[in-house]
Amino acid sequence: MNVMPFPKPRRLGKVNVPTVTLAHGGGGKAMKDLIDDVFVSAFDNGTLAPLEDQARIDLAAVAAQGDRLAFTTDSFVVDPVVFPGGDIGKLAVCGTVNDLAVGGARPLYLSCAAIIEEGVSLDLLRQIAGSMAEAARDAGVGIVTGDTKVVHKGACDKLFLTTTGVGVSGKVWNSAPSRRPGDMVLVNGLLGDHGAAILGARGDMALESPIESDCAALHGLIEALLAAAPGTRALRDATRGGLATVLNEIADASDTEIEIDETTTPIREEVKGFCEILGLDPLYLANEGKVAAVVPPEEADAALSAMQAHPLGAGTRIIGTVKDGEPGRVTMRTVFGGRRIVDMLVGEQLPRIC
Amino acid sequence: MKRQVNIACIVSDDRPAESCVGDWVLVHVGFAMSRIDEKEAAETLKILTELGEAQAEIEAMRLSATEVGRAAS
Amino acid sequence: MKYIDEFRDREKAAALIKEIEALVAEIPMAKERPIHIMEVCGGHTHSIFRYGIEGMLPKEIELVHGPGCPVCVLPMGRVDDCVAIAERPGVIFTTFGDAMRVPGSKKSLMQAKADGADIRMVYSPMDALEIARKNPEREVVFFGLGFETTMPSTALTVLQAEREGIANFSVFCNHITIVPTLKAILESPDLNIDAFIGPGHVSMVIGTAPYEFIASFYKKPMVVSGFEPLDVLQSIWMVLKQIKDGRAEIENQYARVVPDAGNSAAQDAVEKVYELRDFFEWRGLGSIDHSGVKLRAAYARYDAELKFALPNLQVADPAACQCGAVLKGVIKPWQCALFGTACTPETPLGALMVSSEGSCAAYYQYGGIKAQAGAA
Repeated sequence: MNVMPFPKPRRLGKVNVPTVTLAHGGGGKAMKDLIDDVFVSAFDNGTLAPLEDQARIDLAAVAAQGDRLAFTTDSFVVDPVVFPGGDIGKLAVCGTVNDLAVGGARPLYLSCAAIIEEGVSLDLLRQIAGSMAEAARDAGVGIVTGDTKVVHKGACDKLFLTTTGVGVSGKVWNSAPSRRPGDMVLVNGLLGDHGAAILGARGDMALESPIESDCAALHGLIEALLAAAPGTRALRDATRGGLATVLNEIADASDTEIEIDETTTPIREEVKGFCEILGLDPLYLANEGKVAAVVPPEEADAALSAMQAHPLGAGTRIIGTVKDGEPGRVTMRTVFGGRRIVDMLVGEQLPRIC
Repeated sequence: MKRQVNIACIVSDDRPAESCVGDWVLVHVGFAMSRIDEKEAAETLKILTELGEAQAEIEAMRLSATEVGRAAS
Repeated sequence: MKYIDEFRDREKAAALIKEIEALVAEIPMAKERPIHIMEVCGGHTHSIFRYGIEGMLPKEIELVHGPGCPVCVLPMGRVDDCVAIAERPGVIFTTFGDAMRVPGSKKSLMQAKADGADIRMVYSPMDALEIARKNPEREVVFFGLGFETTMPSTALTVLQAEREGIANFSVFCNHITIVPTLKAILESPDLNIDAFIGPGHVSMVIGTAPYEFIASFYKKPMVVSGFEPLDVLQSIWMVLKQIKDGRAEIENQYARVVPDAGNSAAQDAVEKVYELRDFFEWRGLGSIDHSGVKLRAAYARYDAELKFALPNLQVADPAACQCGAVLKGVIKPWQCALFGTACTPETPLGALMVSSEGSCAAYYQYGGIKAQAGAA
């Protein structure tokens, strides 16, 4: 890692009570102990450890990797904070890594700001910080600066996280805005798992489901894709609002029509069943490890095999094409042979009874 | 997918709850409202399959008629 | 999924479309004007849009999307009552998800929740009862809405509450009945509908006999239909055969789920718990006699209307709304002056824009594809 070394190692503090109280947000020893115990010990790197107010990064080393700094931020709120397939910590790392990756950037550093509701257990915090650390290690990024605040009961829902990410791009690929008729749309596997897992885990609908979140850091997969298909025209991670929403954004930004084929759009049976019961549309369910890519037709085969060869892309399919139709519109050929418009959602998707 | 479902509407004295095991039912807002009648389902699909087959036959006859016509001319 | 995927088969659909095209060619009326077929139930409307069925049909057939979305037809006054109950201290108000967005005269349940009311979405009335069991110190109210399909579920939940002696549970009953509503549509002088696709799930409860008057008195064909796209296409085909033969009958395409006699256990529960109201107010259609039910006096302690003092005010639909005309097939959604301007899915004024099942919302979201699909 290209960070300034800090000479003096420091003894880490420890929290000896089971839950967070407002005292841990007071700026005194209790707060330092909380930060040490939960975050510093988990993230374990030389830049964060000294607890300065900022991380200082060697510019020359960064610049050697590309000529553009990529910079992004995202907040994470999720109920429940621990869900099948992940937790808010893993989400906060992967989400920001993916936001960098879909711009063609290699992710390098993250910050982490935590807003904690008083009464949250230390064990839960340690678990979540641990999974952040693991996700960051897997993604090869360092969490190099951070902040914590503690708020009154009810002022936030257990834990809100904000991660800001810095990466470098430019050498490999720059996102090109122009999409042309004939371009192919690919997605790296089963859609809707995260959204269904969260809704299931919330328990409001009393449905027991085996569905797990697909939460994953996609920069490795995207790197493989861009190496195989340098002409790639667009990349979006299909998070909130699902595939339908990102395809609408792509169609809108490029004044083209996108048509997808329901028969090749991958959705697992369990997610279909889940949606069938609640009257939801899986195309609008969130994903946390899925990217939609638009590639020129001559690179589609190379893109497909490169993505399929990556562990996070084994389920990659070509799901649609860019057409010279109504600008900004997304349509779907249904399994039944009909055709429908796949519009942006107006608000939140609500379960239906009829 | 697993969930508790009320079966009051599909059981009766001559169809006790035990006899439901393995049945396909239609569930609406957490209540099983109808046992799916397999015979009727198969019947509906059979009509549609036969429709397709009949069309294919007519199409085949039409094609061969054209060929005969062509051969004759 | 069993009994689902088989009914989404593309080849069978193509065969049916051919049959439908051939039939239409043999119906003389279709050369003069389009054949108007109304699907009564919102579930059918959803399938039609979801699978792009309209675009597969010959242009001589026009589908009219009927009043069968129980969420859409809720009048503003009833939503105001919901909000009034939900905002009482100590109340947990439970509802199906799709009712959250329906506008009241001041706010929707979604807005009331944002303002601090304890409003929870549930999948089943039984889940609402479970919330009541777990929160004995709170008053738990279930927003009972829907046609005969949902009516028995609410009734059985009330009976369960009675059996267990759960006193902190009540139902705000807005259940409505389909037959008087169909009658009201059939009676309207500007009616422009040739045949009906009958509601499948309602019929699974009430059976097919209650519709006989549609065939015998009004001489309109009806086919009770399932909800998968093949079901809908097959029902359209069956309806067209009736039109071609000059028949008007009540047929049952959905026999795998709908017994001709309906479900007697469900009918018993409905009979036991509810009685007809003299009239009920519908958004878009106005007041219709005997079109709603309320809890019988024996279950008064489970009736939220009696338990809580409600404003119970009638709030008129916006004057410019033409939902009634759209519902009756007199005009198409986009011919209403408010469509897409003052009335959009974000700010719905009329019933039909309220839920995604409503025909205006469906057209707004999926609309205009028929012509293009025909060309594709």
